[in-house]
Amino acid sequence: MISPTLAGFLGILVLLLLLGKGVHIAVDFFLVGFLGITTLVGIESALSFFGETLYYGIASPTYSALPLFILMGSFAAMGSFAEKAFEGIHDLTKGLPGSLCIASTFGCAVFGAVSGSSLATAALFGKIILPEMKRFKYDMSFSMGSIAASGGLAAMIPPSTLFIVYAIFTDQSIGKLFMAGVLPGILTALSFSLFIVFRVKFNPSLAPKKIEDSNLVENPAVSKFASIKKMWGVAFLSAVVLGGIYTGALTPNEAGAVGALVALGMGLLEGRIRSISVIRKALREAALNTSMILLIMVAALFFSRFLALSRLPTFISMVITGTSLPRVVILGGILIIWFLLGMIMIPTGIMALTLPIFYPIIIKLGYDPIWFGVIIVKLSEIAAITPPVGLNVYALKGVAGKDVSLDMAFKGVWPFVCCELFIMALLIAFPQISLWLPGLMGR
Amino acid sequence: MIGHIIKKLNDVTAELSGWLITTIMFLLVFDALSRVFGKAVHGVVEVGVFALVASVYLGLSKCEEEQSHLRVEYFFSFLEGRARKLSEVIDYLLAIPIIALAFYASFKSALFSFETGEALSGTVALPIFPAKITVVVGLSLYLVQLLSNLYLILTRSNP
Repeated sequence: MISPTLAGFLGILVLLLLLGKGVHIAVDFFLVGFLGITTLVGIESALSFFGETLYYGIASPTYSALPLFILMGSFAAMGSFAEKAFEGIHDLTKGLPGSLCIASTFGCAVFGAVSGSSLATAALFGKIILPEMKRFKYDMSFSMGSIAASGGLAAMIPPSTLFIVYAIFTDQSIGKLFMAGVLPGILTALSFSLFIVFRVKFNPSLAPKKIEDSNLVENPAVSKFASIKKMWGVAFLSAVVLGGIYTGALTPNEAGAVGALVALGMGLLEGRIRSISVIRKALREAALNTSMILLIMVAALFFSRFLALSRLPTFISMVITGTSLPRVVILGGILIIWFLLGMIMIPTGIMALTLPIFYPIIIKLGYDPIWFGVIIVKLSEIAAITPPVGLNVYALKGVAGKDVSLDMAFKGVWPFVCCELFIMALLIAFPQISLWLPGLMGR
Repeated sequence: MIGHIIKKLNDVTAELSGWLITTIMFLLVFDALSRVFGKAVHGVVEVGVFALVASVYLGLSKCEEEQSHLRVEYFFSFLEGRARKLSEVIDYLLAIPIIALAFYASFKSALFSFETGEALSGTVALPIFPAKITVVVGLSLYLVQLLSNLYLILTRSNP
């Protein structure tokens, strides 16, 4: 009979092998969890655990936020909110060096306020902007990098599905996590834009200047107003959702429900959602994404029960916090592991694998759980664009056409990864950037 | 013929899953409004949770049909021909038994809930077994789709 802790170690090892092999993530968690629990407490108990987790693992109102925000994002995508956000921002940024890239950055940030999926945002904006970038002879590597990285803003700017997943695993407030992501999201968008302006100033061939046909020159006040007006829908929807949560008028679940209903209503009123088939398409899309993500969550929960039975998280936590290493070094080690895992795994899977072990350590070291959630989501943004499993880049390549290679896209993301790392350093050095808004909520 | 029936079933359950999410949306909006007007209705959130459970499991088979369940594809992408086929077969031989066990475990759990009259311990004592039955149905369809995909891989000539 092997010791429970050793079983836990072996379980993680087998899990990593299966993940690397390419077996479906949920299947990996279920398989190792079941074998592990069977080893520790026997097959009858394992079956009982299994049956209970399959139902009670998700039978909680907390989980409702996830499908509702996914649905809101689907309705927003079908309602052409992304196109309007892009058009509005682009009208305002015409004239700046690399204006299409800047418009994609802020467009993604604005659309991120109504959609929680960075993957969907990157693909959607790729579809809208890449043809324009090709037309104006933008450097494709630079363009792909800017859109893929900007798509990641949807993960940080609320409502973010990753914050909901983190909240479920750590039992933190979804509302506070949403608010914590606002300033880091805006800072990241600003850093991307500044980087684009400077890069294009020093190397104008990246974004040839040909788009200064703006009517802003003729009547700046009126045109700016018209540009902002284009974005009223996105602004209204995000105000309803975030305002509702911030003021406490709505719970995050209710905000998701109201947001989805408002997005549907606006799509219908403006004629963008014209038929029942469009609604059905949005529903099917939301249903499949919900099933896919929540199955991984149930499976991960089952696996984490095995880990809890093995007492491995407690063991690792005791060993690490018992060392005389400064807490910042331990935090650095955890972030490096996350960064490396992010290169090969999707964020939900990494959260499921690492949070049962890392989260108690972070809390024991005295770090703020909301702040740590922001750092984890920031790392997820980076994971979404770094090779070999940079999902945003793959999604973008899918809509980019055959004349753009994956290598070209990955080459373009590295400068933006540097921007991300710079912002992350700021977030670590100044936790108040993340904690200021949630702090106001608590008063 | 059987493949066609399975596909139809998947379409129906995936769509139902989407409508269940819409149901959650309306229930929660109704709940928020009823609270605003000071006439909170008990049991609305609980029904929403049942709809959530059903929506998750009823969408699984369509996900499998469209091969959209997430996995790390990096190493898999290097494989070609017979090696690729073998790798896929191994994946399914790992997935099918564990999902079959999940089906069995959920069936036992649903049966237990039915026999004992297990109900929510809230303001409204709603029976749990109907929601658990949707788990059983969803997992059985998922299992059938896994078997169907394995059959397709085994009968496919090497690319």
